[in-house]
Amino acid sequence: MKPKELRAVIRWLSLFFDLANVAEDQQRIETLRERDDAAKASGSPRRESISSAIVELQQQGVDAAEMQRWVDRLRIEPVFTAHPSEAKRRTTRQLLRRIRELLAGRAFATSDVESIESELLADLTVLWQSDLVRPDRPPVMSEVSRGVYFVSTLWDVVPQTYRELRTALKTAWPQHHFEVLRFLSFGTWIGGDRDGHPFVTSEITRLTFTRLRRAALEGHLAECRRMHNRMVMSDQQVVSDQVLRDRLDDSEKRWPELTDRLSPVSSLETYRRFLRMLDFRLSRTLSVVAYGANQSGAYDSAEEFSEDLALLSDSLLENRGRRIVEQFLQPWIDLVDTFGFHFASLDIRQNSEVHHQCLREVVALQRSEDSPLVDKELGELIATGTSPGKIDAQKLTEGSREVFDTLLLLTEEYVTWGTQSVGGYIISMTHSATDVLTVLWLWRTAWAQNHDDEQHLPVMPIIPLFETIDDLRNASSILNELLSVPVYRRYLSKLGQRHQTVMVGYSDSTKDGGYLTACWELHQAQERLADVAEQHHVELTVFHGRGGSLGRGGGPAARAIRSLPNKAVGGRMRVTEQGEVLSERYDDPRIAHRHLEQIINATLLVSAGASRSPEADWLKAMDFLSQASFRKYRELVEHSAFLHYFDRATPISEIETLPIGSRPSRRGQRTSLSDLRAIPWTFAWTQSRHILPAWFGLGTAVRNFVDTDDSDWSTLRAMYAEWPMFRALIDNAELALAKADMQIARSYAALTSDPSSDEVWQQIASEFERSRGAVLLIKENTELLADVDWLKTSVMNRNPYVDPLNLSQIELLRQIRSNQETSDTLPDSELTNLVRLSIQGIAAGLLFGRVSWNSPISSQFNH
Amino acid sequence: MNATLADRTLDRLIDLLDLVVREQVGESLANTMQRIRRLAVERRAGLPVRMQSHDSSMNSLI
Repeated sequence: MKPKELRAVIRWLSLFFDLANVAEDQQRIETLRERDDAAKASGSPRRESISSAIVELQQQGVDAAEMQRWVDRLRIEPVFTAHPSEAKRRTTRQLLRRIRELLAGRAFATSDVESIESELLADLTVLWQSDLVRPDRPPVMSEVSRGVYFVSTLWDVVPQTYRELRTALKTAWPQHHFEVLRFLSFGTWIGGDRDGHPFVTSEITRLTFTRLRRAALEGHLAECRRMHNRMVMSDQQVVSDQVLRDRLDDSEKRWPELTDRLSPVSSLETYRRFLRMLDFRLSRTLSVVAYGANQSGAYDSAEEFSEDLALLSDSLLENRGRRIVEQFLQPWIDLVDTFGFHFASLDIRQNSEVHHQCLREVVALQRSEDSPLVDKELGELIATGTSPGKIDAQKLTEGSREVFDTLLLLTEEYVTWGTQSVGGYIISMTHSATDVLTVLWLWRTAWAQNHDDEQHLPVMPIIPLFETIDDLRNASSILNELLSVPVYRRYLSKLGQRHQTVMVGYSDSTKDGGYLTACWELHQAQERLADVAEQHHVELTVFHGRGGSLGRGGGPAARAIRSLPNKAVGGRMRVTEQGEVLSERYDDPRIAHRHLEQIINATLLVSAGASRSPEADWLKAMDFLSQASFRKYRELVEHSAFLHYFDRATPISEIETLPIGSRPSRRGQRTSLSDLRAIPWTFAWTQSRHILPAWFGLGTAVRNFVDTDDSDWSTLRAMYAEWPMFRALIDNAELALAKADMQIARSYAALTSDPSSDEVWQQIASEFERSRGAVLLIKENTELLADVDWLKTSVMNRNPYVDPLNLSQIELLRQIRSNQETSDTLPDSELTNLVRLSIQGIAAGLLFGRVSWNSPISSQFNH
Repeated sequence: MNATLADRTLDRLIDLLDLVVREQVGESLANTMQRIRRLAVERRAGLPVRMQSHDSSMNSLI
């Protein structure tokens, strides 16, 4: 085919998958509706709903008082990230969203099919004529806006989840009054994650805080105006509360310009006048945020705004307005509880090495002596309670200055806006307690720059991130050491109940140790962390740094959460929502709702439900399997030709130049496994249909296990049947094996030129067969996904369309590389564009990330 | 899970897309895409989940 023709075919196939995904979403929504109807008819709650969790817990013997304690502890926080594997443009997403909405309209308005199809044709024409792949790498602030794009969905869905929890509790225990306070919130890394991302500066972070605040305030203003149109009750019919009228009088005295805003509203409509006052103050707050203007009447905090809403609510309740509160006002109060004035808490992330460099420079400026401290002395200094002195920050090098400026910005943020807008400060590649104490020292120093009293130092959560196999193994001893350091204990105690968040990374640990070993080490690390936290009387939140895709910790929500050690959950679920799956989970309110209710359902059940400890011989078996898998995996990745194989048998080079995210994809020259970022690593293996990060090592481990003298399949089958951790491990591997295709992978392998590459291919191909066999024998099935019909059908329907895209990509890679090898010129830009298109198409075709947290698969596996 | 609605919706959307493709790039290319679609449907009907990826008819498209 000529390039022009090939381009058209690849575009067509890419669009085919986008439309297939839209069609499957329609199916999913229809299925949810049918299940809703069936549940209503039968009087029993829908599976994996909030209500079903409450009913199940009640059946297990949980009483109302205990349930209230779990509701008090419940804290769900999805954290949005912008990792560079979202291949689709926002404009394309918007068009697809519109097509989805048109289809939904068509389902309900059959008489208007013709005009809807005309609109669909127009949208498809726009889609065909637009660039499906971004021409340039997006700036960070575009990614921030992309995260904010989901506000409208969340605004609809959040109150619904609160209402469902309240209703479920009331239905289960009608005599008991439950207090349901804030249990759902959102976080974000977009604009805050600077690890390996030189474009995320303190200025970008400042703009991000502003952008997020604007989103929240604009949402509240719109809500306020809706409410103003609804609350037209008159004092002639029902006398409003004197407290409200007093507040209005007081406000008019304090802000005389308010009078003009109130004058068009009848003096008998106190509620509307009160809402006008809220509108005035919210608008003033928005001006402060947007323009930095000093505006009288602006709210100091979301808490102050909540107090006004509470006044309104109390007045309505006292005046027979319970229904009005429940239907109209309470959803808004829930939105304020969830989004405050910050919309999402922004996390900051930076690498431990960067902090150490900054510390050396800061301490050198703080000390008058000429000789710098050696690392041991530095370690001793930061573990003491000595007050850090001020520094001349201008003297820091550029990188350290950036770290310090960010911390200064955070001190301002805490002082001006309180505790909600900052999620935490994450230290990637944490290897020791010193890594955390280093950040604490820098935080104290930043505070000391503008504040003399350290007693008021805000307790910014400092969050160690453990992401290699070694660090996961050491995580609990590092936490133990940290929690034993007096200066750190005092820091945590400032809030009363001490609380520590620890993050565990699924992507890097899987790249480091292979699938099975990472699964097991992550599981054990969380159990040990929970034990250490308990010993120190510290509340623990485990923050799960999962990817959306298989091989990065992806998998259905309920399955993933219910496979966790229950003592490490304890009602708290903080988890990343990676960039590549945001649209799939949060574009449609019904799917977003399903996703959130599954997370809440599973978190409640794993926290408060009955649990069974794994048998001793299962633990022994897992140790054996993990060690065997680790050896096999390391043998592969340490093979002398492995990096060459990865370089040539996947489109990694093209992915690294793909302008799909603002963050550079590459750390530098690839000379070892550690030079590869985990996200493009998984993405590249997925594109070339190997998908080996999600299964490699499993087959050999299982084979070795059953070949030992005293073992057989019955142990593994019992583990699969009764242990959620092992079940999730096998089910996710099965899904990856079903999506992989060794014949297509073999064609990619043919792109390699190193003679030893064939050994790498042989290892992969034989391990694939072993792993496939292992899964089938453990599950006692004869084909993959035999017990998940709909998914098997989906894979079967899609593969015939993905294969030509893969074959096109292979041919294009061959042409690009032969150009590179015969001349020193850059690859032809047309070929590069076509490869990029094929990457986007394959990603859509393999439902990259779709069969993940919100898929109906979880109901198949968990019941 | 009943796949009928998804299949019906997708078929209709692809029919509409084919109309657009005919307008935008002409009959010849649109026919190529129809051919891919037909092949895929045939394979879907005749083959299990694991595909024969080196089918010569697919290769001939490139």
